[in-house]
Amino acid sequence: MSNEFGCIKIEEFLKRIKGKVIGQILTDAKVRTFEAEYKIENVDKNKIKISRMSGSGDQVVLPKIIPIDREMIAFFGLYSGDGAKGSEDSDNPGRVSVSISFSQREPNLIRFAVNQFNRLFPDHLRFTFSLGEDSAYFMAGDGLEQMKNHYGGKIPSQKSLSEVRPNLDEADKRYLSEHRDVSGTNEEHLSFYYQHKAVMQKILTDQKAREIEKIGIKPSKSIKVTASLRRPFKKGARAPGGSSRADELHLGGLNGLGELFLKILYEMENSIYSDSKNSPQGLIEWNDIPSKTGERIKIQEFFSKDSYGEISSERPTFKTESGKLVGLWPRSSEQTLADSLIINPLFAYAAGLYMAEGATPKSTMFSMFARRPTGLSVEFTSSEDGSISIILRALNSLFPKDSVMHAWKIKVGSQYFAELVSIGLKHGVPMLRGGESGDGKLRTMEISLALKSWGLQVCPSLEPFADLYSHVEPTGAGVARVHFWASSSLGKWIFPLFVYVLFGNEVSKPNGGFVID
Amino acid sequence: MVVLSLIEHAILPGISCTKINLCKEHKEWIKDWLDTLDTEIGNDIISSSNCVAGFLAECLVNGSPKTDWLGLMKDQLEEDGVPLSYSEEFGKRLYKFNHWKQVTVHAIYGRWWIETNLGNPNPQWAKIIDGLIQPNGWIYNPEVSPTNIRTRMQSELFMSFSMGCEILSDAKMIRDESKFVSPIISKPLTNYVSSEYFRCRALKTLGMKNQMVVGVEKILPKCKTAPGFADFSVADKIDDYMGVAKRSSRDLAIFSPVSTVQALRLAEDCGIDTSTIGHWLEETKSHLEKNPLEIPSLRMRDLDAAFGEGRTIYEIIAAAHLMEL
Repeated sequence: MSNEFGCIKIEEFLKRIKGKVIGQILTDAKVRTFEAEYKIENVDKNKIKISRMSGSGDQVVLPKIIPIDREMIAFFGLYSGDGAKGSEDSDNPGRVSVSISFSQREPNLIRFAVNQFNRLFPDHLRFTFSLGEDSAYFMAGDGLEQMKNHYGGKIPSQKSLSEVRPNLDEADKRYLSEHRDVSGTNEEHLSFYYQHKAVMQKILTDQKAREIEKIGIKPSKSIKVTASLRRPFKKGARAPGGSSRADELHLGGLNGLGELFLKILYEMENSIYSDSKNSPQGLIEWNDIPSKTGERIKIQEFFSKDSYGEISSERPTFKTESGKLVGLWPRSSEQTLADSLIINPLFAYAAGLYMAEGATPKSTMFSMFARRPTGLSVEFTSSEDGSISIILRALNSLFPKDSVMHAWKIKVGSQYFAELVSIGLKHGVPMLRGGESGDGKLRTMEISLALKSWGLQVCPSLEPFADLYSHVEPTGAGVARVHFWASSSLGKWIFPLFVYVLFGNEVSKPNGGFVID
Repeated sequence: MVVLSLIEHAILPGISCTKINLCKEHKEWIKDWLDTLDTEIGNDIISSSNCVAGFLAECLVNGSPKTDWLGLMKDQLEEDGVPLSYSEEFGKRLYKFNHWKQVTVHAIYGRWWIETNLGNPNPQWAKIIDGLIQPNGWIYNPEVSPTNIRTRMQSELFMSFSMGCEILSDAKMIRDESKFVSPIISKPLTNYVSSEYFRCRALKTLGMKNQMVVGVEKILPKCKTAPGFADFSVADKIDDYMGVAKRSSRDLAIFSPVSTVQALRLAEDCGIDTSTIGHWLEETKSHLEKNPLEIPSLRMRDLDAAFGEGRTIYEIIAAAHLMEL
């Protein structure tokens, strides 16, 4: 069967809208718009050259029509979770400008993303791999040890701030005026940062270079490796030695094309969400209704014969009960399954999205083929109904509805704790937190109950599961969002299929074919 | 049951409900709420906070309570002689929430408050509160919430302390007042109306208002909304760990009658000039007289969905009280 699901009609779309791309995004509970005007030039029968009308940015050559296969759909799902959606223009609130970049640490997913970027934009693409870290990481533990090794076993004695930074800039002054509940003074922390900045950056850059070499990517003219270091405790480290690592992949050669890229992403997501043959503005056209197009997989056959159906040299057994297929992995519990499923655009998009946003440790999803997995929980967090709905529908294509969710909760980052306290006061109660650090189940039921309808309004896909609402959970950071989880016995069924969607055509033997620790 | 006047509840200072004349909108809203509560009670779905609110609401509507709230509390909100926050059936409103059985300071306070209003508080409650005083001097039950002091909510710490303080003071069980108040006067000024109000309330209960931390006059204008007050100022949202301002440009602090009655009491107790307090009150009254039910709900950034209800029974009672002042 052809792996072509539809196409992106770049030329026709840009001509029809006269080059003016407009879109709206909802991320982190913010509604924002993006806009860009493009001009196109004919290159040959099959290709066009696209650039910004203003003349700024890069000129990019693209096919007039880009075929969509399941890997590309999964890539957009992955980008939907891990990719940059634009930064807000401070002079124009609510408007974002978009540069294409991607945050991911898992090496197999990085390799997948690089391959897909190269397929989508075959000409003149440059990659910059960046490792971001809080410099507090180097103040204790592993980071300190690495720095000590770099200095040959002894770290130089600490210099004063005036020695290492005679002229403070505005950001330095702001840093010094902030209050942090950590040992040491801001001045000591800032002088540590400037005294060791170059060394810390070198350590991080070397580390990142070693990591990408493992997946066959070597620094070159078109592949750069950098480190981005923040002042101590500014990036998220809570204590000396704490890490707040962020891995970014920035793309060069695509300046100015970010808005068009986002437009493709959201047109694709919208048409999958609404199961429409054509996306809202016609940029995407599927071969058929998305739910009906794709590769049909016979579940028993897949898990009995395919290399992706084998986990740690084990395969499940099957039986039929009341006309339904029931599978059992060793040491697990029986699970009712669909006889077959179609790897359609929704399933492919869900595979990529789950790889990005799912709470399952990414490394386990790749190492499970070679060694016995633990912690294969099925959990997903989002503040957008589109994402929740797509994952639930993908799960429901393999499992009965009553299996796809065990319970759901609402996670609320510290930014909204003041609101939680206010909600408590409105109900005559204080906000009592759970767990020693306060990150456990919120004890005050009135507050949890008050937010249930918020969760159902923001994510109406949860309505059939309303009775499974469990609690509010205060967390360190982030906006309020919905988190659901299913029985961990589902993981051995769904994750091999998700990995197959992304890598089935590239890695024939998953046991040994992935980079694992 | 005849209740001629109420002792005020810590959440809603200044309210002696039997004296309030309700506007039509508030009266209907409260009656509807009581009807809903009645159905829940019939199904044993009971919480301490609802019993307190039900007691207050019936006083507002009828001049005295009509339900045997104390009987309900004894039957559904007590285990081994200790008050609970929730009945077992209430606990089932959350899926598999196995933490429903909670002995909290506010549940003990609710029980003590209702019994005191009915004229016969059980001296046992003060002994239980005394047992909840932690080595650090704060009053809370670590079996319900084991969270360390650093990450507990300040409003919760001060509220529980203030409620515990009232019960202990009433029972004359505070022996060393200086030692007793040391945790609340050692904590720096917060940015929250409720925290400062409860701190001040505790000090006032002990006759030690002069020990109040300084700077309240700076907080109140920051928490001022149009009309009335919110509990917090959006501009002051600070990350506890990183010490930096949060990205809050799309968040709004909104008017809360409960926060407003607390803010006005705090202002009064901290010596804010009477003309300023009078102006704040008039502005709030004027708004409520035109729109008695316009009590907005919180929102998160650009999402339309209400982040918790705007109107609650406590908010409506506070609004009714503000209109009467």
